[in-house]
Amino acid sequence: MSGLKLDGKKEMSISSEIVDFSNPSRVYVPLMNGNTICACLTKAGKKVKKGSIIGKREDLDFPILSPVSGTVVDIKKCLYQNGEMVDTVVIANDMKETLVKKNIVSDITKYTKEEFVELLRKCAIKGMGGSDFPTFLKYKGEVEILIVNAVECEPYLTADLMLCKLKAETILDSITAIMKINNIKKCFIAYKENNTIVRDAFMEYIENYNDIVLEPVKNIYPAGWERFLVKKVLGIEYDRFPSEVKVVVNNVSTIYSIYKALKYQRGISKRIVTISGEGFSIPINILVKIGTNISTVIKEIGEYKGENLKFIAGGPMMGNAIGGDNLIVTSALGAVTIISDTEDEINECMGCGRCIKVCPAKICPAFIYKNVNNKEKLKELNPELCVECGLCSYVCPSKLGLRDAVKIAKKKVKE
Amino acid sequence: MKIFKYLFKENPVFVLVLGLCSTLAVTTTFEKSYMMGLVVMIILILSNLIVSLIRKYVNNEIRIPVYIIIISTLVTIIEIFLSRYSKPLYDSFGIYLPLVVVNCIILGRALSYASKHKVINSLKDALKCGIGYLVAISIIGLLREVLGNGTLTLMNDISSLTGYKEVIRIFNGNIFPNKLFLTSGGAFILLGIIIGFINSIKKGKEV
Amino acid sequence: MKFIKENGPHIKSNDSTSKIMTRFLIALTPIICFAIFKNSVIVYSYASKGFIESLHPLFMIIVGALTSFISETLYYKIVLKNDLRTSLYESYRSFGIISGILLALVLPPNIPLWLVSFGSFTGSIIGKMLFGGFGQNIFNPALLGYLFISASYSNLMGSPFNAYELDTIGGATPLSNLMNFNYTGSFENIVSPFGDLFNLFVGNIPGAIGEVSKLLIIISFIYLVITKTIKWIIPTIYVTTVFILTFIISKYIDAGVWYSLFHILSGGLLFGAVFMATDPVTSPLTTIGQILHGLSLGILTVLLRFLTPYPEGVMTSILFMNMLVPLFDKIGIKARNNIRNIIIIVITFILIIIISILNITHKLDKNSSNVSELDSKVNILEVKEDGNKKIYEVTSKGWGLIKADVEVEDKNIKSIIIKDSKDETQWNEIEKNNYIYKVIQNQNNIDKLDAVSGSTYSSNALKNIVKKVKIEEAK
Repeated sequence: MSGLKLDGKKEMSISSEIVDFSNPSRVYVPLMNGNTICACLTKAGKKVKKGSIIGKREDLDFPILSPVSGTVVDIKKCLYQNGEMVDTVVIANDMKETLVKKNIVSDITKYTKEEFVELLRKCAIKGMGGSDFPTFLKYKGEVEILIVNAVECEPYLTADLMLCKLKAETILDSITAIMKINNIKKCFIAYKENNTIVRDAFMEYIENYNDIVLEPVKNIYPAGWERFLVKKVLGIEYDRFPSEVKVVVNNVSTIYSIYKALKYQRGISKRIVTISGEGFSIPINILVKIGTNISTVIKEIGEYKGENLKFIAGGPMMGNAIGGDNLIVTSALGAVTIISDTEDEINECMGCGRCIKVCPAKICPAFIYKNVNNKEKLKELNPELCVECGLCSYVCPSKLGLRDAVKIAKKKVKE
Repeated sequence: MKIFKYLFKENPVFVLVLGLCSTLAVTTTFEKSYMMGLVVMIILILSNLIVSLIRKYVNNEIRIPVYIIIISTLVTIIEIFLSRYSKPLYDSFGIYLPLVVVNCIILGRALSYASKHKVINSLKDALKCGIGYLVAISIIGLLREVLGNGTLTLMNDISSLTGYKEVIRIFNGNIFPNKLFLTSGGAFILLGIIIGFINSIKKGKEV
Repeated sequence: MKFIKENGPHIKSNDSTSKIMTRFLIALTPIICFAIFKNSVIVYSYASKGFIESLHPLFMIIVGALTSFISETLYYKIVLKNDLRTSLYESYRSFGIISGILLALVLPPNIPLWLVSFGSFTGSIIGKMLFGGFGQNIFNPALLGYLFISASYSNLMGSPFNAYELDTIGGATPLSNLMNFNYTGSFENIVSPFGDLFNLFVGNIPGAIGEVSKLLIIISFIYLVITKTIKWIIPTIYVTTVFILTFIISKYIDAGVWYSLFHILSGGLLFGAVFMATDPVTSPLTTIGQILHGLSLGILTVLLRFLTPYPEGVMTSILFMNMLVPLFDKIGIKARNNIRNIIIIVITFILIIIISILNITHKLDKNSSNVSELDSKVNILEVKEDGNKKIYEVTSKGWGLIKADVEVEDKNIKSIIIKDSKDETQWNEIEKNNYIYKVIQNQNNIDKLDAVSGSTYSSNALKNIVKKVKIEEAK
């Protein structure tokens, strides 16, 4: 089976409680959805409430909501998690938490499917496992099976695991509601078999819920990849999207945010973020408002250890080292990893073949690296199947930049 | 050094890399190689002369068969001459003497140059290519025999014709003679080394 | 606080190229020690050779390694125009000494040192540096050096017996002995002259200095597989293919399993499979490519051993398959996309195996029929012995029946005295051409001698006499 067992390093941050830092004085909301630039629907000086629309993704009519109530101070460029400076709405928090509409729904299962999809769109529910994909698109068609992704395969990350530990019953209620509204037959909660914290958290309540099953998967990276999960849990393959086989894969934090949408008819304003790594004195999970500048929180908690540090937005395999620590928390940012740089001796490709053995997408990174300038040969090698998991660069003994080469090849083939 | 420029700028063996079949097959002794070079040079001059003389009367469609008939006639004359006056040389050439008919140099020069230029220019071109080929094949033959066999055959097989026979032994030790150069693989390696050497000299002159 | 900006995975595995090459060298160490023990220590203790002379194998290995390193450094310095420090560093990183050591281990123990240096030099320069340095070569540089040595100076390579073995064993190496018996024969003929299969396994037989101890090679192989250093699929499939093919042949000639085991344990098969064929730069990267590589190597080795006059087939087949590695990789990529793409390849390989086996069995039939044909034409009536001289009284079928006395001394035919040749027509042609003298002169390669035109039957009859007597003497 391709994929590789990595040292998870989950013990560093899993024993701690979640510390609450959800009252920042300023909130920064980037006008981005994933890597798509969104339009701005507000201006400096306007007063906003918690849940007001301040931006919109044009092609999908998908709103960006304000996580606090207060006044819009400015629209300027700030550091986003892909390493670039993007337009950001700066809001001064008046700490009053005034909602646009206060609403509590007693029975969260009483929605029709169309109402459900519209609710997900209005409350700007997005994938919280890092994809930032608008969730309402996934539920538009017919759904038969739901897979809840509590795998969290990146090393150092424990945010989803802590959420499962604290809010297991809420998550199960949310799943039940989703299943009833969408006529879903069965739900699998996938977790890594060595993360016993997830199993213990759900075991308490799982007998009361029919059609929800705990499904352990093997401890390899990238077990949280959508295609991998569908193949492992259900044994079926699809072409481009799981909706072709009537399956929806959702991150467990997204399921929790759907609960907030169903119960209170509003989007989320806070999320759990893991700050971990050998370069930080106190690895910890924190609860922060979306839009917090994380450097202010880090200064309050602890300090950096060591020289030549990398500040990584996300996990060490798929995240980018952004070159500064004033990063803004978005709903897709699950962790911040601080590790020291390693001196790598780069050599020529020696043809060992390990990258080909571990690639989960079954492409050949070594050949793509050797032919990166030859468009004809690249077409036969299918670089567009790459998921950018980073295992090829991880395992290469000559320390070549294989993932970057495949990214360049992807762009070349598209032209 | 105009001579070197004349001989090595467009040398058919070292630069254009044509006609390697007869070059690498018969160069096992120095005598065979310079005799082959003389044969090719004579045929080249005569064929260029004849082709250039009749160039205005030959139709475009039947150029190749006509030129091949001319060249093969010349080769057959030389074959008969050699088989009568120097049978050992004829035997040692074997099949590579008839193969001169399809030697790329002769046919190529006929098609590309002699059929389009005047007689004097065609003769000059044939002389240039022929002497270049003679020098090239002699160098290869010299190196192959001295390094591979340790001898230098100035005249042995055609000694019945000229009355002069000389085979000099140069190396007889352990390092040379080196049997590799007598094989066809060794011939290719030697050719590659010589071409690389000439290219590096050319590159040095350009800079 | 200054942070580093970078793409790409920020954690990397512990393994690196230098560590892999170091583990490879560690795996070679017991084989080097055994080579020195067998060819230096034992020779010094039992045979009468001086101390410095006995250390010859150690010098071979040192000379091989040093020449590779120095020639690569000189190439980096002179041709690529670097300064000395960079050249030394680049040469260290391209691990030329491994190919130098491997070359020294496949050479026979009596080879002169300058020849080892020549092979190492040409292997490194022509086989590796001219193609572009580390990671760019097509051919295994150690094997290319071996090829240059055997193409240029095969008569100077020396015998595969060290001084101790010349005194005790003499004769031929296991594989050339096998060839003398036309690949068929019994356990006593083929294996017993060298002890039994255990001797072949431990390495108490003549051969090149590194390839004889199969036990140590297997231990090194297990170490390399556990530490994930080499591509283990290639040697496994290679040796298994040779075993299965020779097993099928052994069933055809009614020999036991010992025949296949003999083929695996003799020659450079295990050494070449574990250390030469798995060279990471010159072998396929994809899994299916490696399987095809091992399969092709096995088929070609068996074909070369049985159908060609070369007793050993391993080095040539590895060099040949090095050329086909891009093809195997192309098939491997297609198979990784969809395994059904390679059904045609599988069918082709099955056909190749079937055709090879048919060819080999046909040749074995022809050989044995040749021998029996000879037996029907020449008849040995009596052998008279007189010291180390023997006189064979033979009859041989020409036009009629020729009677002759063949005088043999020290396994060489000295004279043939014709007693009766009255039934031969055109016998005067034989006498005019001094054919009996020519037959005795060419007794060691009698097949190359042409018959006298006009008296073919009589000439062949004389040739058959020589062949039969020579076979009798070789027994």
